[in-house]
Amino acid sequence: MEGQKLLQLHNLNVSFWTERDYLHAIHDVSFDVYKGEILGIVGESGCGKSVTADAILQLHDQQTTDYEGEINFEGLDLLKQSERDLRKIRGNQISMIFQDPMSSLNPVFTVGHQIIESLRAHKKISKKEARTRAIEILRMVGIPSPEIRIDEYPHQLSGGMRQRVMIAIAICCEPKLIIADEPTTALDVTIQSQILQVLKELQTKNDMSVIMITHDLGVVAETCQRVVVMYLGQVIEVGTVQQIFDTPLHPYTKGLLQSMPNLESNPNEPLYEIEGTVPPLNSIPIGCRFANRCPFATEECLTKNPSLENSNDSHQIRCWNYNEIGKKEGLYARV
Amino acid sequence: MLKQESPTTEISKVKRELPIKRILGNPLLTTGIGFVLLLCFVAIVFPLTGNMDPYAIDPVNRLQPPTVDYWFGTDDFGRDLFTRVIFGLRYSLLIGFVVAISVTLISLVIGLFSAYFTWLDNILMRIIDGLYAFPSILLAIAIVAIRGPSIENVIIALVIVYIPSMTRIIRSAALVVKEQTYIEALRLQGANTWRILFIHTVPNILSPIIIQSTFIFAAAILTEASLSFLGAGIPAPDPSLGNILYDGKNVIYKAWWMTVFPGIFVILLVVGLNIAGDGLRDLLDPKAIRVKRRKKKHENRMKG
Amino acid sequence: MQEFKERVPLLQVIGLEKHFTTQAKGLFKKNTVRAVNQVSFEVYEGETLGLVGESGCGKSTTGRTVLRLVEPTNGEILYNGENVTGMKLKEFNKIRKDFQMIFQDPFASFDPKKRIGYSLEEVMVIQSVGKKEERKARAIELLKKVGFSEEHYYRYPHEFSGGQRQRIGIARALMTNPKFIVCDEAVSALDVSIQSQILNLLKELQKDLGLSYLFIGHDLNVVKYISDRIAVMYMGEIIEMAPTEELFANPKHPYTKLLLAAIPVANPHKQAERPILKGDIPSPLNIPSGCPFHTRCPYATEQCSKIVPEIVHTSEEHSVKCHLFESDVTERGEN
Repeated sequence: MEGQKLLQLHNLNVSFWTERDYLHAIHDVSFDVYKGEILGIVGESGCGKSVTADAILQLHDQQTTDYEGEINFEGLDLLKQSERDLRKIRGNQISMIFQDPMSSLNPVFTVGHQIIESLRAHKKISKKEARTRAIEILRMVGIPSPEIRIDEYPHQLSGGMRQRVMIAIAICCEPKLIIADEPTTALDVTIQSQILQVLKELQTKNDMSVIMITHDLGVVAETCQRVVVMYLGQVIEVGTVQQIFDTPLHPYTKGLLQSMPNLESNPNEPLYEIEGTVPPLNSIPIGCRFANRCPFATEECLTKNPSLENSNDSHQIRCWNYNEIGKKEGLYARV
Repeated sequence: MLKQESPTTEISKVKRELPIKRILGNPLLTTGIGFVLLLCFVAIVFPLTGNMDPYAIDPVNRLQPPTVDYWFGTDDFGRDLFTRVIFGLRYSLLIGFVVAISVTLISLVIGLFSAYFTWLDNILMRIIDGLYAFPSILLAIAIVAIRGPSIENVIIALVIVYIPSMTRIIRSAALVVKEQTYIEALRLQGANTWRILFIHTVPNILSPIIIQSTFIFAAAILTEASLSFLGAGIPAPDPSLGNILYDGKNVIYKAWWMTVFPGIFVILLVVGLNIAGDGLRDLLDPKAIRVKRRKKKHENRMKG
Repeated sequence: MQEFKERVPLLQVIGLEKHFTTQAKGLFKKNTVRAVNQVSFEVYEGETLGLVGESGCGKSTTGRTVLRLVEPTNGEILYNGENVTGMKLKEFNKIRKDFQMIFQDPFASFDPKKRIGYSLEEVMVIQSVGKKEERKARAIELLKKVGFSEEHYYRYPHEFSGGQRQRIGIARALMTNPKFIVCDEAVSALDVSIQSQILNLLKELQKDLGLSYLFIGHDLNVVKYISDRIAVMYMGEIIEMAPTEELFANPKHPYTKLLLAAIPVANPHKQAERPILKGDIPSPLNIPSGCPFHTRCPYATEQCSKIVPEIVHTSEEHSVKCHLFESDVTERGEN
């Protein structure tokens, strides 16, 4: 893949102290984010995608979280930065958009206040200038009559509008990277398409990179150039969006694509089911974490956890048998 | 064809800690409960020895400081202070217990029905809010003044005083449960209000009720002591921790023991109950603090 | 599908309305929210009617009103020809065993303090059906039917995952042998790989037991897969209703067309430029006059803002509520 690397995660491990257990939420997660790309991270509940995202900016409770590994951003290892230095980066060079705009926006401050607050925290800019800039940004994210809406409170806006405000706050300092954690999951589908369009336009215009975390493969196909697939705390496949959808290598990825109903599914045939359920984090299986549900599992799979290997230049896979599986008939995603 | 669940693999292996273990693991709770149990033991067992009479006068030995015969000294009638304090403790425990139970039962009825019947809610809660606005001591004094001083009236006054706080807690908790999906499912099955309230709502709101009742227990004891101290509580010659303090205030420079000993027991009892209540709250409610403590413990162990 | 028309529908809803009043500004003023407005449809034995729409469209309220969990303000509900709208609750509770509901949130749908055996049997206890042993036998029978075994009867809800609880929810709904089940966003809260298990189970049970479903959802991929016919709702009204294939092949209403266009396609090669629906979904407190969609409709005319469109049948099975089609009436005329 051409282009410079903006962010590199290297063997990231995050563990949490909970009431009864010490959980290894993510294990040896490594991937890169290039400049100007939209990278998707997909997976289901418990796969660790949100944990990974929060780890980049170390948003977890420091007292109960252990981090290990490296997160390189423009020459700095984010895991080694002090809280003070991290604050200079958050909202400024790396921003985040969350799933539920109602709980991410402060209900007692106006929308404008929250944008201006972020601007003035990171840039030397007067109140007046900040206000002008805020109105401009609100216009950029597609909020009509921004001069009026800037003084409104979050509860006065609809869900779609609030999400646009979140995006506005995220881009106001012109960050190099935006982490969007399920930004449209809570929105209606017609509003979702609006928001995704806004994100795509801003991304090209400002030449930002975006990490798009989602469980919706449709959103991935629509917005992302590259995809990271996670399962139970590990990265199990990485590739371009075409590779993941046309030639998925990992049985889990294949299973996921196959089990999603789409407009072409035959209603008279049962949907493909991935057998079993995701094991809980406090009893992670030995060997390949997907083996107990995998139709192609062998002895080796049950005892040794495969490492992430390159299948070709841009396609990585964590599976002992992907070559043999590929040659068999069977689960290929539809084109 | 649905794959059958294998019995033990698919269900998450959440370790259910035994309640006893969790209780013992919580230092606050154990200390608090320990104190209270100790005091209960003292209050129940000691008088059973038979030779403790809180009314026995010994005028020759009035206002004696603590000696071998009179461990806590004597009061202005020559009565053994130790005996009187122990009996006073008994009354305090009895009152606290009866008040806590009565308040809980009555508040349960008011709170649950307010939560489920909006028309009732409007009426009842206005009354409750009105009562709540009164400072507890004043309200208690007023009620005792109207009805006359006796142990029953003290209990009635305290019950009235503490109903509002418990009712509000029960009502809020019940309102939360009311909105849950499983209650909707029950209505769909044709469940009547009785079933929804008593079989399903009450078990799910027990935590705040238990916690609050320990605090009411403590508050009742304190308020009763205050009432008696002001002369509006348990009438003489029955001993109460508060009225011993009342007797003691006139001779406070001559006979410090009449103030100190009942005072200490009031403090021990109330603090013990409050600590137990805090411990209970930690046990039954969110977990962030416990997690941090666990991590610290582990780290300290690692350091050796 | 044709034979259905001759039979008496299992459920018939005529002119259903549900209004909520909320506090408005000013001490004695009230706002009326028209959550459901003149909704009419039928569900026949053994079929699934899908109900789709976005937030505020009234689909959940419709589902609840049809079961009288929420009392309708106007309109009629008929089960097997019998009008149950005005029935006293005591009497109605007796026939409640014929229809049940599966809820959206699997984590809140069981009393956490009761074992699931108890929760399953409770409906039979309430309805005074069967003796103790019979109830237990039935509960275990249904647990097995949805993929569990006898030992699960003794467990508590928190010992199960979301998908497992949803299956138990299905078992609970079946305890009294209902004919009609409302699935209120039954798979929306589940991961994709679990969704397929539940959808397959629902279909299998339908075939096995001759059940009818009112399937409420917002994910069109899922609703298309499971429904025989689909009704599209907007702002409390059904604006289009047709058999599934027909709806997707020939959507008539401008909203339906835009809704279908907004669904992200899980195929990176099929990402065409799509028309994006502008504007926000109006607040239910302020439903636009005339046709509620006119504020966002690319084809709106003056008539649309003034006059409420009538329901028009463009073919026997396909009805639409839009002024654009008023001249497309077939010989059957309006029904």
